[in-house]
Amino acid sequence: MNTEKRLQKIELYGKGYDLLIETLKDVPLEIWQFKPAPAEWSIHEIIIHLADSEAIAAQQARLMVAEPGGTVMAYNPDAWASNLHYHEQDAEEALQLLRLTRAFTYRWFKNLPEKAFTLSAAYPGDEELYLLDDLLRIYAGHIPSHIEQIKNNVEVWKNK
Amino acid sequence: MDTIERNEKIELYGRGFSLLKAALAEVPQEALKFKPEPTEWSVHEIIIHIADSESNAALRARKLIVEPGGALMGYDQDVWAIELDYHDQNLEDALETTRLVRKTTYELLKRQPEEVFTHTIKHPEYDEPYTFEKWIKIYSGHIPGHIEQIKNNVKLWQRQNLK
Repeated sequence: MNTEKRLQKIELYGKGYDLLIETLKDVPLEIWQFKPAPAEWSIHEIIIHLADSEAIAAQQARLMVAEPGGTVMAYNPDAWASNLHYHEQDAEEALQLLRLTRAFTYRWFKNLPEKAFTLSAAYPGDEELYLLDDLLRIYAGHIPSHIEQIKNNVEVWKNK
Repeated sequence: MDTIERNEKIELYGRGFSLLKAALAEVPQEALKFKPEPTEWSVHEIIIHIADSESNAALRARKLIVEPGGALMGYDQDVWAIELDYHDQNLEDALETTRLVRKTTYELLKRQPEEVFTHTIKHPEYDEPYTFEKWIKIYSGHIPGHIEQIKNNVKLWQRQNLK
């Protein structure tokens, strides 16, 4: 990834939480627990997933920078959503955690030297090294892709 | 560990953040970055460490609940304190993160059926399986252990400033 592209990704990553809040403002609360299909996530589940996933990404990034060459923890997002009863967890607290975690990591990314983004860790079950640049690319697009999912849930609900 | 002992430890875990806040109320602002020795942590570094450690602990608990038999991420806390410049990180954000991860994880633990606490996982630093019981013992004592360290730092800082 070249410098310009990386800076764009960091800025998109930094805007993620605000984009999410902007989207959620237009979603009536009664839709939050609506599941388009039994195996698909509701908006409430998406929010708890975003908090868990962001916490995992933040710790993975710290490992890559502080201890490059270590092994990060992998997880199964669908298994977590069903077995941790995401619908029973507090969405407001999850949003606060997401905001704090992302704001910290964004500030940190902005101050990291360029060469830090080539540091990497091993990802269980994956032969290729997981670079900090890969993590940035994935998480810059993570909230925007879930925003599309949220919008789709709203459309499906409206058409019911 | 029987159910009574486990529930006591989970309650202690749930009180951890309040205990930490009460201890921090006794720490003078000027003592926050005092390091008793170059290789020992200041109160500021302890607070950032607690936020990182509690975030990892919360993820480990979730992994233990959902994916027993899987593998955790190990990390070297002393290396993190140096490499991640803990003295430059924001204390208030770290405390709020600790409060939220403790609260959400405490509530999660309270909802778990008895069977979940028999789950084990692989920890890269241990040859034997890492049990949920071990997790509960370590993290119920984690903040109280650091409170003792904070009190000791303040005592040493006061002694130095009286000279």
